[in-house]
Amino acid sequence: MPRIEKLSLSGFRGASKAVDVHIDKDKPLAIIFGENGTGKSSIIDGIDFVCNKRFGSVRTHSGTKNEHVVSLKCASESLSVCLASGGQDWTGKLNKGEPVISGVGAPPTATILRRGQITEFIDKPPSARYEALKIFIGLPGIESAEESLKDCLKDIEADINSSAEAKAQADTSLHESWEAEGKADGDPLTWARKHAKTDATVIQASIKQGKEHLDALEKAQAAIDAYTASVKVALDRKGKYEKTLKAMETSGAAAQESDLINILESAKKYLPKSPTPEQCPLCERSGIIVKDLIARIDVRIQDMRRTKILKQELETAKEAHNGAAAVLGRDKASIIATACALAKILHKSSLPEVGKLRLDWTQYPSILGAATPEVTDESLREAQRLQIAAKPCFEPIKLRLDHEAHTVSQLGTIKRDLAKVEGNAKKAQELERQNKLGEAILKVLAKQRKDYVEQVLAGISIEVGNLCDQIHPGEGIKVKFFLDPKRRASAEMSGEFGGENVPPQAYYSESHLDTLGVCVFLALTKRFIGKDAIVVLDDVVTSVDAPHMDRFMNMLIDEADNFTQVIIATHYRPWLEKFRHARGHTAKAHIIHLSPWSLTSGIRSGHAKLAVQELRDIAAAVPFDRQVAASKTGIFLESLLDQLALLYECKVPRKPEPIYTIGELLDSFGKKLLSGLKSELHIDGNPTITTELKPLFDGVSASSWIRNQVGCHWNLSGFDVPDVDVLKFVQKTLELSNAIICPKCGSLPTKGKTGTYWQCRCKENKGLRLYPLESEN
Amino acid sequence: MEETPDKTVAAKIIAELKEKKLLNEKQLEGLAKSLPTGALKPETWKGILEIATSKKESKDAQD
Repeated sequence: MPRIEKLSLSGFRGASKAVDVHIDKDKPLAIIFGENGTGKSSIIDGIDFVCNKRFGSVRTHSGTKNEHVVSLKCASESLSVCLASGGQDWTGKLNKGEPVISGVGAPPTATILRRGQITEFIDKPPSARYEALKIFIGLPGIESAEESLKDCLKDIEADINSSAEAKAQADTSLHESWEAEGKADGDPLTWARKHAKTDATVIQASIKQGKEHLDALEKAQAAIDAYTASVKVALDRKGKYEKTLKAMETSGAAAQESDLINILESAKKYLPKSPTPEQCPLCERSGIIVKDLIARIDVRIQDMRRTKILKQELETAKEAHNGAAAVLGRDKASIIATACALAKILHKSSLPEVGKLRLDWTQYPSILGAATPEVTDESLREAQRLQIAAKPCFEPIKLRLDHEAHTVSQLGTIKRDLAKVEGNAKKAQELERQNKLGEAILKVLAKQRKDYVEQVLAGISIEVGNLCDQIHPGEGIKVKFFLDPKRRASAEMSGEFGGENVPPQAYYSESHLDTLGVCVFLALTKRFIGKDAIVVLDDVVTSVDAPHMDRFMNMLIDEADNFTQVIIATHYRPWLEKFRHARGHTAKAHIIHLSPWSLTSGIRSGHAKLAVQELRDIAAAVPFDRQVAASKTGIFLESLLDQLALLYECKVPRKPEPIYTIGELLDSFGKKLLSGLKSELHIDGNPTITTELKPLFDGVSASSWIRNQVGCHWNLSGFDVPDVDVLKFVQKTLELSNAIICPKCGSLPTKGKTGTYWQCRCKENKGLRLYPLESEN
Repeated sequence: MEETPDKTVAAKIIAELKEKKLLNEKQLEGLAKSLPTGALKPETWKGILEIATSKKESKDAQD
């Protein structure tokens, strides 16, 4: 992942004038140093604006709005932030109050930590902390599978309950049937199983046979009833006919008239179609006028109306009488037919109820013998006799049939209930097995998920602990993130203090919480983004003391290799000066020095030169500035001697303030120490350059007076010192610095962990070593 | 291709399920594919459990 190389701001926050901030892309750490109000946060916000499309610190203060990102007296249209990285650049502008980024592909992602956010993660409640970590520690696929398995188990649980309920209902029903049947066979289930074996077809066959009997009996009875009714009707109609006939006979004229009407009506029909219309068909008299004769016939018929009515009534009564007689005949045949069918059924019947009748079949020869018996009075009498003789078996058969139907129905209920009891018991067993297996699988899923999250959290805890140890060695600052087994999605946190687990917020000092917050941020970024991360820290630690600040910076330098780039903004000047004076891994860090800001000049960015480079430049500059050269060389020499004197615990005159002259520092190195002092430059573990330091000390010692004479005061005698001597002072100091500052990492050897020499900040047997480890003085 | 945390944990789950003989090889194969994707539905699990328990039951019956 390429590093940020340049950031060009225009009209953005403090950049009231366009400014380019160059960052050395070959160095993993960029330190933006500037006193308060010089534009550090503007630069960090510019990175945030392009990389994350955010308004940065503008949004973290109350009363600020997005438009405040525009510089004073600048138009929002002129706002521009251009970030260059890996040969590409992205430009951020404001469009309708929102950042719009142009460029090829996505800009690099920068993770930014500001002072106000340091303890935010620590202060969050466990659930919010888990939420913040979720995108890193969450297992969406596994969690989803776990949830769906839980849903499945809920469904199974519901099915188990439903089966149990259905079984209970069937149990109750069986129990009730069992009780109703007299609690036979000890218990309902045994009873039901025994009953379930009953062959219902035998009973059903019996029912069928009984129904045939009842049907035949009913039909026979119905036929008798119909015949009886028909007899009544026939008698009634016969009486009516006879009565009408008698009325006709009583009136003789009427009878004659009746005959005459018949003749007249026949003549009326005949005359129009007679072959000899002028001749009377009865008397054969000629000269008849048909038309007149028919008119005359009509008149006569009208006159004989009463006779006609009587005749009609007689006809109707006759028809009714004949009809009733026909029905009676049919009914009589029906009685005989149904009795015949009944006789056949009863004759071969095995029903006990029929047996009890003790029928004498010799009395029914007509209806039993013939397939279709003749309708005779004898067969009618046989039929009627049989119906009367068979009638007593009807009710017993019906009663038995009802009982058998009830038995069949109860058998069906028992079988259904038994099937439900046994089926649901089996189903419940199957579901229980599924539930048990599902629970076991769910346990595995949950355990593996929690193990993973715990492992990640433990990793974070260890990483945070390691980082804290670098800043607070021996102070036992430890923090542990873990899951609460009783709560879901909750990242708990505890700190160790005085050997006890405590909430860090309650017991750690503000500076400890500050550094802890930064360490948590770095640990999370390292764990979850790692090498691709561009880490940006905006003036994050202000509450810690100088030794902790130094260790914090050393930690950052060491950790910078784990990220693409680390950019830190600070107003802590000692960092600037210590870096400039080789008190750190200067080869890894690029220092951007911001000069005082004004509205007219805007942000003023420049590079902070290393002291050694500054001296080289001063020595090479034309015209040669002797005062600057003497002064700066003196300061640089003091810093080198001060560091060496600290390493060897050299004795210097005690003063209220630890400020020593070059002379005092030079004198503090005893003869023995000086004679043994040497440096070795190692490449791949082998010394390539060994330098005795005593001659170099002698060199600077001989010209160190020049610092006071030329570089400090208004001193007439100092004016007599030739430039060449001043230059010599510079060069001797540079020779000493070249011998004791590692050319690779740019730091003085200050690490004494090897036990035999002081080592620079290079690793793996490389770099500069300084001997001895301790002074024999 | 980098192994996702879901895949890593899914592999561990499959190994434990196998060790505990909770599911058969064929079911584990299918589960290994679907576990990390979040595509498992309750009805899918139901099918897995039904098959697993019915096979186990018939095996027990044979034994």
